[in-house]
Amino acid sequence: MDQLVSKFEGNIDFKGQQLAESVSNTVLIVGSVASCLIGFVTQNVKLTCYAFAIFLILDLVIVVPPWKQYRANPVRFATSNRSIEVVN
Amino acid sequence: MFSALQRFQGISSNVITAAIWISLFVALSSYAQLYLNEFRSLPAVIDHVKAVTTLKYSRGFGSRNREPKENSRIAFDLTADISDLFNWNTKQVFVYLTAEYEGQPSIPANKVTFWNKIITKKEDAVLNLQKERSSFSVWDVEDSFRQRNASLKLEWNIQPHVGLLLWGENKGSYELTFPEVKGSSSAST
Repeated sequence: MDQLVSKFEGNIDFKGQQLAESVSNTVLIVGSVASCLIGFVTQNVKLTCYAFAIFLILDLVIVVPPWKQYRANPVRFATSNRSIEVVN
Repeated sequence: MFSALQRFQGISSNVITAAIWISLFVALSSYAQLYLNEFRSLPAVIDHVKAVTTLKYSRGFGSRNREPKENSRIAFDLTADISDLFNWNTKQVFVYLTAEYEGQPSIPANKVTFWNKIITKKEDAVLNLQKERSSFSVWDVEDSFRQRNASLKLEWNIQPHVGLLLWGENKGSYELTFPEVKGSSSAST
């Protein structure tokens, strides 16, 4: 059960989180500006909505699943090879 | 941004922010387009207005207790091009022909709507009406129009996809005098 949960949790590492955030923001900002321009040039507000929806789906597909790029720098824990002397 | 659910939530909140900015752009750019088109000074020509006043006795025509109530109907010619009111943010435009006239001292101004139309496409925005009949039978607060003078105007209301409703009127009016009641025998309920 725990394995199943962790498989769908989609955890990524620290560098991956940074990357995901910047990718997400870039796609959204570029998408917003592009959809505004598309709608204004064609003078059709529906095209703005459709274009923005497409960029939104693109953003979700790129950012939500834990792609390999987001898991490229896993945190390495120090090995516990030091022994502790217990003094009586 | 650690788990997939957190990333989904982050995107959702950013999308709402982006949608607000896009809406703002749509609304403001459409106002700019309207002002560039000088939308407050579009002309309208109202002509050949023929008014008929009749007496009505039913409650559907404003009568109370079967007292006679004067009702007015008109036929008119109208030429106006309101396609400048249409841009990418216009859902529809409601145009209506109003008559404004003086009232009693206690009711200084009156305005009634004789005719209206909903225009949803820019292609339909060139109005060229001949002998168009009024949509409504109009009556006053008083029982009689007392042959007062009225000023007919074409007014409009822009309903946008995003943003505020805008009201305005076309330049150009027609001075109408409400006629006397047309032969009391023709009055009907």
